[in-house]
Amino acid sequence: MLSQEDNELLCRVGPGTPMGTLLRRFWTPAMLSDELPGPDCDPVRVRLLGEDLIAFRDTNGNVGLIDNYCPHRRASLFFGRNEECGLRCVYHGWKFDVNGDCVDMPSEPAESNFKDKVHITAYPVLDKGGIIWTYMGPKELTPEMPGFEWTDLPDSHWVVTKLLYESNFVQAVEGEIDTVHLGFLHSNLDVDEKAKTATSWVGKYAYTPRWSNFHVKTTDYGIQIGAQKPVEEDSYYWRIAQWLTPYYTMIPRMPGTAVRVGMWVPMDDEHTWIMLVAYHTDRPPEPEENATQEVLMLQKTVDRKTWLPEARMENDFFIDRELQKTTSFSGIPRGFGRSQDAAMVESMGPITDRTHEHLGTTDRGIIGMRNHLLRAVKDLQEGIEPYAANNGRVYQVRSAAALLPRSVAFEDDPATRKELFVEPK
Amino acid sequence: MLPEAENDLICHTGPGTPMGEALRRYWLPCLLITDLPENDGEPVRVKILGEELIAFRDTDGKVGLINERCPHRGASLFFGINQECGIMCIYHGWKFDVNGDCVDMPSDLPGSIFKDKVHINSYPCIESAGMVWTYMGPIDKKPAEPDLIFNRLPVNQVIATRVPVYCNYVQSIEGNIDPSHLGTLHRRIVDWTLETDDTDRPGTPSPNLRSYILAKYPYSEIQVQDTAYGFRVMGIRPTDAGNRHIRITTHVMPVCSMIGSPGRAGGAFIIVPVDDENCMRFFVRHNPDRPFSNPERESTLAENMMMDPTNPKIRLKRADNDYMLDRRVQKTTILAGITPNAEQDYAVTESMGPIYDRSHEHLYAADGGIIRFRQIMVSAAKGIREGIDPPGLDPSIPFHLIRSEETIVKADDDPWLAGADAGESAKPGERIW
Repeated sequence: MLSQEDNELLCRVGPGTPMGTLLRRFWTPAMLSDELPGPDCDPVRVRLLGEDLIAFRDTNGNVGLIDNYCPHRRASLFFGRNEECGLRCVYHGWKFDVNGDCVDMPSEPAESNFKDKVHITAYPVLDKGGIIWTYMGPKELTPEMPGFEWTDLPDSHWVVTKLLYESNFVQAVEGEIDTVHLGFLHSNLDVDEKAKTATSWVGKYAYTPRWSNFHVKTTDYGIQIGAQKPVEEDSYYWRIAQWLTPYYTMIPRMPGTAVRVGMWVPMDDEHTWIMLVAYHTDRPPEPEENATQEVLMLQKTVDRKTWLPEARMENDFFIDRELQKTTSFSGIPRGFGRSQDAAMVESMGPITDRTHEHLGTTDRGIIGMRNHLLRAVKDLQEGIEPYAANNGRVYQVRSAAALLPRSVAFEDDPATRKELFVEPK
Repeated sequence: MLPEAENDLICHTGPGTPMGEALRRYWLPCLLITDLPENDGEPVRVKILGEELIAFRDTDGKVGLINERCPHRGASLFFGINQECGIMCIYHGWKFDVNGDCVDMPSDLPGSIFKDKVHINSYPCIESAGMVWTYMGPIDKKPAEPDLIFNRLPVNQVIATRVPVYCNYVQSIEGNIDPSHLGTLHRRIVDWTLETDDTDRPGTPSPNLRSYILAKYPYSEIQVQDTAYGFRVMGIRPTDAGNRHIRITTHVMPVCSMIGSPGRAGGAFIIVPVDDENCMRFFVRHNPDRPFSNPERESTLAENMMMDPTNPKIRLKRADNDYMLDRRVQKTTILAGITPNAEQDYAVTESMGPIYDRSHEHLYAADGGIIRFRQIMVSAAKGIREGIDPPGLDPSIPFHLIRSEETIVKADDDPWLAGADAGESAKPGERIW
């Protein structure tokens, strides 16, 4: 449970809000690189942290991310002409380059120097790991790029996709680090039966028992969430997830399988951009792997105009009550990507009212994440800058899973450590 | 005209509002029984008095009405699994029974007693007259269950329908207690060419005579009479033979209007707020002495639940298609150009806007019923704030005897005696208007 005051602090991200100010201290994933496929391509609307922006790739291939509204009389530059190293407003021909400088003002007399005084907000961008990142904070505080492992790997080693959630980003993140719901929301009715003959850890252990004991550790990147289950007489099964400041997640994974990174970026207070990456350190992902399949399916089924999946709240995520009675715990078909998760997160309402909730022991990860984020917001209000923003190397971690003797903590197990931490180069 | 403060007072019905608290002292219909056709069937979203709820029929056939959002982290129980005497959230398996008790919490550690401390808000429900009724007020103030004529009849003598109306509930009710608009809104062009007939004598008028009178005498004198359960509003029109044609519509607090109709068998409209800008119009027909035939039932359902086939959650005829108004029909056949009658009512009441601004209106004598209704509602809402129970809850009221009526009486008869079966005063001196 949170007070209304803390809930507001946590969820509001517009310019000038405390959380908005914190998020503007980090590089922000803004869009997919392939949304701007080539020089002078169509401009794209990008709403980010409550700000309406326009992205374009200029004649030289440089990406610009500028205010949506022309500083002249505020017509949208979405309608603009992207030509000769700048985006030209179709209203009176004012033209801006990727730095936000006004490079042409043909409607003014030739001798006028008004053009040189006009500037449009432009945020610096980086194109890395399939994502266009931007920095929306004070220039003198420009942070380090988060040192995510995949952003330094060859393009062939990762896949990436994007979709939109119709809810605030915090509840979306909470859904991702809440690993205990796997045994319910994502399960089938025959999991207990199948567990008897299953060979994979997930098949054997994910559903029996359904509860987990949560071990949450604060780190310099965020929190590490270990969910512990007593599965064999002498061993624990561990599922280890990561939450990285301010909105990155890594869900548990079997050793050797793809690392899955989630970026839960606020579009505004009531909508969240989700960018999902699946990667391997040493090879391209195989199309038949679960992690790859999810990304490829979303690439195919999400509407590239609205970024909404086919299954959404207005059609009740195609819930099938017959399926719910006979086969799947949720009855929400999986064929549309993250529908089961989205149904839960979006059905809480655009901003969930945390004054009415009841958190239990399996919500320790969620509680830890909120505390971490609220602390960072309050620290910044007192002038303490967020540590992770200026130490990109802390992002060099991964998620994991392990089956270990009861006497061994996963942090002490060399093989698990190897999965969890990226080796410094 | 109503001052803005009083308009807000009676139109806002969410939790904690004075009018909302007053309305929560009565049993209100929230669904049709047919919305929950089978045990362990699909849960149904219910929005009432601004609260988002989920209704379900459990394994034993009991109806539960609980908060939509799971008390754990607020996911919607609409997606929940209705089985084994409870609804289970598909997020983490928390399960609630019809009383709102948490009966299972499989994601919690073994031995934990957290489950016993968690409760979801739930409202008691009963099923009667084809409808599911709920009581959302304080338990110690719960009144006797609804006992109107249709609550006592066998199910085959009752037809209940429901349809969303896209405006505040007060203006929707005002249309039901306004006998004056019958001379205009619901008329056919042919009504002005009819002839009188031999039923212009004390007793029930023929359908022909009724239409003839309503068209010929658009002015109806309005009288209002207070009763223990609410009030009665009477529209009086002269007849060619020197008698009086009267229609008595009976308003039972807080939101039920029995429409003045021949034979004391008028249908009832029960207008339940969904939120401040929407309401649900329940319509109940009853036959006092015989079952409805299947064709009667089917045509009543078809006419009163005319939904959009492409989206059955919304009405077919609505503001964004101008209620399918046909200007040619309006010139030649039906005054409103919109069919059927109910849709004519929706068109006028919804066109006032989502919450009608009563500071700009102009009321006259024909609006006596509306004025009295507002006075009673304002007083009920103010009373709640002072700890006074709202009217019409006295258990000694013989609710089952309350009737509406439409008939012809002699010019010197006391018209209030018509349909006065529930102990209403007939003394002229006690009339309010």
